[in-house]
Amino acid sequence: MSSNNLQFGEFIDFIVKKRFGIIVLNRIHRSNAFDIKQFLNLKKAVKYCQTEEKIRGLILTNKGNSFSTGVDLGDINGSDHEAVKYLEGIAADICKLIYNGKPAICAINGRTMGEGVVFSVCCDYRIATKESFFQMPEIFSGIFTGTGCLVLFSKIIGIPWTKKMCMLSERIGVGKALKIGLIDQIVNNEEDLMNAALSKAKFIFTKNQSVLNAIKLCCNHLADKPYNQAYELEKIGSAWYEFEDKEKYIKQFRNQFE
Amino acid sequence: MPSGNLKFGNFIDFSIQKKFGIIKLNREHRGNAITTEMAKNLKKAIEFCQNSERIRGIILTGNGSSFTTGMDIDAIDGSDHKAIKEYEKTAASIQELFYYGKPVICAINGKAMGDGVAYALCSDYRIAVKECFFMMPEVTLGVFPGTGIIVLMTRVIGIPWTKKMLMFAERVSAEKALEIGLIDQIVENQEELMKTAMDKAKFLFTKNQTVLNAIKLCSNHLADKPYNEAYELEKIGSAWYEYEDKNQYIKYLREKFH
Repeated sequence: MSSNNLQFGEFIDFIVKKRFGIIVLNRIHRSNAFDIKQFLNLKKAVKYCQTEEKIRGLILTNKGNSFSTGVDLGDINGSDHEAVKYLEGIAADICKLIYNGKPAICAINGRTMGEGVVFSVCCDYRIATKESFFQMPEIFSGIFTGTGCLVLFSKIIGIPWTKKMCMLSERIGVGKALKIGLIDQIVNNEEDLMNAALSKAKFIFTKNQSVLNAIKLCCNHLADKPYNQAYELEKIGSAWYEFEDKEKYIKQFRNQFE
Repeated sequence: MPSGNLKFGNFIDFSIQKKFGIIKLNREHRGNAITTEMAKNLKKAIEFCQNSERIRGIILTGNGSSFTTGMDIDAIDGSDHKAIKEYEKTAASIQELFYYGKPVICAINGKAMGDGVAYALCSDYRIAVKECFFMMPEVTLGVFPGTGIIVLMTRVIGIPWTKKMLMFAERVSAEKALEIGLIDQIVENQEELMKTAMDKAKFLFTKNQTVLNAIKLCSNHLADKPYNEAYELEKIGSAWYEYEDKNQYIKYLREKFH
């Protein structure tokens, strides 16, 4: 049963299930391409999930047969660098909120391009229907993929695949995406997609949240640090039980990586 | 023929073959689950190998049908944080000895869980029998896997698979482990396992030990550094022949990465 049908504005549907905030991208007439309004509303919804105590994680998904086709080039003029910069700032904030925040599951139904790929890469578990594909078309428009995308891609799928996607704009099918770590699971259809996402959410919300959030932070942030520095940070993770106020502990631990 | 059957205490068998110290986890009645006493004895055996001039590397393996099922949760109470901390400290120093020390081959004879996976990750070459599997069940018990394993795991198998293993406790088969880089080779049975491990040991002990140890250190520690800094460190590795006292030189290079 769903609950809490909150409104975050146009193009963003939201409900809470299994203590997970389910954010649905819904700008179907433009294949879920992002305009500024949708970006701002998505940020509001993600922020709500991060600050609301009863929510333990989020599922990011879509309506229709595109997860997202990225920034709506019909809505934003690519040569207006100020506008692009503003947009990039919001997208980068969303990435950071997801990457440094509570566990996030991405349930991808359909084509995923540009910022759609970036948001999925920030999530901790990515499930996609078998017809989905991934592509970064920015280079065709002379746009630098500057929302933290390269930082994340090179960490998640490695340098060679980051180059193939961002420099050569290769289109990646789900089979290949699974192989290179861009997604974690393939499902047959939309129904299986939500079942799989909710089953992962159920696994997550029943576990010790301090341990889980500390593991997430360490997974995302230790690989780029020298061994000894990384191990000192991991020790803060393993000492979670020493902190009386667990919310405060996770907040302070997050700050270590800001 | 084996030689030098030294004793390091309960649950640790030790012999020397082909200039490699062979350490066998032997607490078969508990699936080689590790107690604090066993971890301390294991540490003694590894320290001996690192300090003995006649030993050029280590093979770590297990007796029976489990490599190890990790920390013995019947011997160490999960809610006794002091006891866990003591265990974790020993386990972390074992990993550090492996990761910074002489070449290590891990011969995985059966299921590997918790610290079993961590010790495998610190090794330089991992061979496993085809029936084995890998799993990190800590999150289901509300335990943070805090012995330096996240530092290592994100480096060796990458962030997406680290999350699948640590946040979602996914069980990984030998075949999948080979695909994601968690192991390097699969063999049919235990007999073949030791034969393959000995072949690798033979390859290693017949090579220039200074060059080999410098390669190991650079392989483990350069990827997390900015390009120029990493290249300066690699240059120390490539200048090995300029140092008269080779032991002193390797010690110096190790210190560079601490």
